[in-house]
Amino acid sequence: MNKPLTEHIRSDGEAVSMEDYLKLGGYKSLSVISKMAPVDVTKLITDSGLMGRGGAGVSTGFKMSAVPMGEKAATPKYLICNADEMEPGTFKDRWLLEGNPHQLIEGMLVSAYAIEASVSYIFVRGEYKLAIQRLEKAVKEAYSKGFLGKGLEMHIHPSAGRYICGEETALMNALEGKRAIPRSKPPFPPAIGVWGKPTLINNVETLSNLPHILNNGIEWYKALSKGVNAGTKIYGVSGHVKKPGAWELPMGTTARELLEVHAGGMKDGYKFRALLPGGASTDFWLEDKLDTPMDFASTAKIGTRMGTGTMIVLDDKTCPVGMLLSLEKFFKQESCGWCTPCRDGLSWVAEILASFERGEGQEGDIAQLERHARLLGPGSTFCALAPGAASPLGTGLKYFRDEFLRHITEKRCPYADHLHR
Amino acid sequence: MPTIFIDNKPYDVQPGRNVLHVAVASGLNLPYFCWHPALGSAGACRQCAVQHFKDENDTQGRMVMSCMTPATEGARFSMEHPTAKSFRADIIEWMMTNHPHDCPVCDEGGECHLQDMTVMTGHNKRNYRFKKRTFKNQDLGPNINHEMNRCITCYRCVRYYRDVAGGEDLHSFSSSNKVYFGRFEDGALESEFSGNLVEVCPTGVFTDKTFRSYFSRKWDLQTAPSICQQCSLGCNISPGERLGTLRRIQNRFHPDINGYFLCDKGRFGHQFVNQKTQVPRAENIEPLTKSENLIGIGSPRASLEANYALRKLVGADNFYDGHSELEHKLLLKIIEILQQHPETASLEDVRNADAIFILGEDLTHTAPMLALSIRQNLYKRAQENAEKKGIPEWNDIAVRNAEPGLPQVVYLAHDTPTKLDTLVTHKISTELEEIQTWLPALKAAKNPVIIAGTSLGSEALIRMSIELRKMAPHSKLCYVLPAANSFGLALLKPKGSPKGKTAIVLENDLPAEILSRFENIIAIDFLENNTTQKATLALGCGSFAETTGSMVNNEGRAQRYYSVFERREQRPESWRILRDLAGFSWQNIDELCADLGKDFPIFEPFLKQVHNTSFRIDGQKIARQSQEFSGRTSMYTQISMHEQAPIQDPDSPLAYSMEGHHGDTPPDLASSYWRPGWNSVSALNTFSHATSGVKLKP
Repeated sequence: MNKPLTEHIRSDGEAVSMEDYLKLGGYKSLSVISKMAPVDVTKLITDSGLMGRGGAGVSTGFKMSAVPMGEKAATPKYLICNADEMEPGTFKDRWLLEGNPHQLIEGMLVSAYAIEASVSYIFVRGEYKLAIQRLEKAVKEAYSKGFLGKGLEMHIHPSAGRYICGEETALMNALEGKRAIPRSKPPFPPAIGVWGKPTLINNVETLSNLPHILNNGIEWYKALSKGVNAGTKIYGVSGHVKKPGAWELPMGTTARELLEVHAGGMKDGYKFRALLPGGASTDFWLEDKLDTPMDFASTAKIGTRMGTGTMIVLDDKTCPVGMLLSLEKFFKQESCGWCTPCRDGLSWVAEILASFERGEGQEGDIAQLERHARLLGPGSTFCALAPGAASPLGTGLKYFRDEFLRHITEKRCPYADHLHR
Repeated sequence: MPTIFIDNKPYDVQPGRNVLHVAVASGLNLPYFCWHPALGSAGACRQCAVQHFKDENDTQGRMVMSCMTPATEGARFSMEHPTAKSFRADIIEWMMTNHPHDCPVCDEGGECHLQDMTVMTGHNKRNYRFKKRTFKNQDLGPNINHEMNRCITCYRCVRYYRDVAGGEDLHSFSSSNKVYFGRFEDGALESEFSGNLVEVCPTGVFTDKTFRSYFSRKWDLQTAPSICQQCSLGCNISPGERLGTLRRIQNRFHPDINGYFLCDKGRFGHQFVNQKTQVPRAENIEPLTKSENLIGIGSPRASLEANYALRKLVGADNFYDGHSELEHKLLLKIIEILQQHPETASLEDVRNADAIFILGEDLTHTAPMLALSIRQNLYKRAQENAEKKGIPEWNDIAVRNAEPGLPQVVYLAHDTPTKLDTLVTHKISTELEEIQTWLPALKAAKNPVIIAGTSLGSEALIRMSIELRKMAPHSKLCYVLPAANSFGLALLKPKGSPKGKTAIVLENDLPAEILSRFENIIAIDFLENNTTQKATLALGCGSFAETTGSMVNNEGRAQRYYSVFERREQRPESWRILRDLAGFSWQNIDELCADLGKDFPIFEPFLKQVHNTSFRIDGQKIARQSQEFSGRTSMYTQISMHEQAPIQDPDSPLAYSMEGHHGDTPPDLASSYWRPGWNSVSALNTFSHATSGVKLKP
């Protein structure tokens, strides 16, 4: 099986060194692009069908082609790698950052060439200390080898630590030293981004794909997938499964294969109840959706989202209300406080869920939660944080209504005695 | 002019506005918080949601924030659509989850935008059953009171304080529903414009601490249109009085001068009005016997009418300037310049200029609102640049993100550091040769403003300003003068170097050297000072808050201020004291002004335009008191248990009463804004604002 992104990541936990990376054909894509015009690189990436791996699944080439080109375009243009991986249950970018930082740098060089960016940043989650160390070392090496510094400068910016910084416009504000709140769109970052200049922001996994597409061509890239969208995908599974982890697999691998084959199925004594397919900001899936191919198009077809493709599994011994409380507390805490529905709505949701877990849930509470799941959906808030929080809440209320009612009638959490509540 | 449809009714749109602005200016009851006409849109509060339809056949529509939606030709919206309408009630409910509902003890109660919006959306039942979040408040100094628990997190305060006023010590801290607006630590707010937080905050987080020390509800205040006395700019203010004391000053919108804001000196520097004065009240004045050695010294802080009365009393040859010798000389020069070039720049002109050249003025101190106007100018330049990139001017945050650089439009010649230096891209010394280097930039500018003034006492700089003006005839001049009515006094042509035997000193505290020139001094003033103490006769007059008069600001704009209240033991206008000393027959300000116009035709255009005492609306005087004014039968029972008859006001078309005209009023007579459902200062936004005052041509 072809695993271009991860095949060289070492099993001993060390990063691929510059020396090894070059031996393995690293930075070869730079000679490929040197023979191409920047717009042709963008076109190639568009044609490859690469979709952004950060969760939204927008065509990477489409995003690149929105950056103004030519002499009239404002300069400097910025390329930013979004390495602020903070989605609950998601740890795929960390694997790439720690395991093969040069692959990311090479991908950024490709992207920067295509959009004619001269300054780049890696905005990396502050808690990813090891990743930061390794990135710093790799960037230094890339400078000394002359890959960086001629056309592109690269800076590493460890985040001060807010989930909202993963939202690309809030990331730009944070990078500028402003309060990390999202910006309204339009204007979109490719036109007016960081410091008012054209800015392209891509996820770590997205950028890491680029050298391989350039080296091997789009036919090869499309053939990696067994689903609708091209390439491989790093999927992950966490929860009470036998072998939680992350794997690079063909795009379109089903949730069932991930759960039963790669994660080894549920731990003994636990039964599958539901899963969140891509981090915390996605709908719950029950058993009936397990055979859905995990790609952007197939999940959209059944009216849901794949997100980051790193699933969290809920079992029968864990309280669904407790799980929701934990998620919504996170979203509440990470709300930037800019718009009212998110700021005050999520706080209310978290308060109600906490009261359920204390055994103080009341009759009208479920209706109140349902109202919030509806009101916090797309269209009413400033950015996608609250709609993300509303996804598990809305589907959770639908699928686990009896569990909520049990909390009210029993005046306690029915799972309170269980070890894993 | 584009037309949009709101609930199927057509509305004409000033091009480039957003839907919320159109709705509010059209008098529609569309609630909002984070938008402010001077701050633009942020899209944060989500309060102004409306339904947006694709076309006439679209009944479903899509909910949008009206503040973030351009009002484009033919666009269709609905405020009444159930989705948007119930969402607006939901927003208020969320905001109210942590609001303490302490309206009865809150200073903002009765003029609270949050109260108005809550009533407007119809939210009236509390469903949130958990503990409210609480904060610790800060001591923000003597002017502003801080009560964070009331905060609904609209971000207006920081957007105003930091982005508009350039303050650096107010921040938004923390996140989620614990966002805290305050300083890093307790301490007085550093901005010279901090007082506007009181009006910008839609609820009771930032309130006027000076008002709080002797508080009254808004509806119990008696107000009148007035003019700030603190510098030469003539900002429009609305002072409020209760029980014979001046309680607070609020901004009164003037499109060409102060706009929505005031400086702290203007807003908080009014306590002198309430000070106990030792200058005996002038009463039963007998006319003076004429003497040849009687002279009068006028005052740049007294009204035009008072200065004119003094001049008339002593005669043109004996009327002297109350400015210092140097200031007198500089003013003569400035008047001479303005006779040639009467096109002076208003603050609005400064806000719109594409280049500003400042000759030796430290504006933050000598004319604070001019300094703020320069900040506003830089933002306007950013808006223009952003507009070229397709960002509408009202999209405040997008404008600021798209234009992070400092527009290169401010040129300053000053020899010491000033607070404006951070906005100045070309700073030089006051050496004239250096200033000459500005010429290319001045000539290249389309509508430049040259600012100079009297504060450095340099005639060379004033001469330089006219040299520059000659080289660039399209530029406008703006002079910062010593005091509120310096221009008005100068137009009455006073002489320099006062000498004589007996001097009448009008509202002025003169240096001992000048006082020593006279055997007898008759001082007319409101508070005691050196001059009243040395005077043979001191006569107490009323302060600006108790008298009606006119002033000419630095641009030559004549404006009238009206007495806000009358003390029960009336302190007369200076001109009435002078009238009695002279034995003139003027019964009211109109009669005096008739003579003023005859002697000085330059004032005729103003005197024609100003509403004289016989002006009525629907046969009524305009009420100074609100319709909800309380306690009139009991508030003076310490004097008499009978209800006092209202005091008559012979000098204005305003009445010291709650009876009279309320509602739409000419802008120079309007001192408070109210519309059904709009009790806060936001009511202002539903009125259209014409300019007022008359620019004189010296």
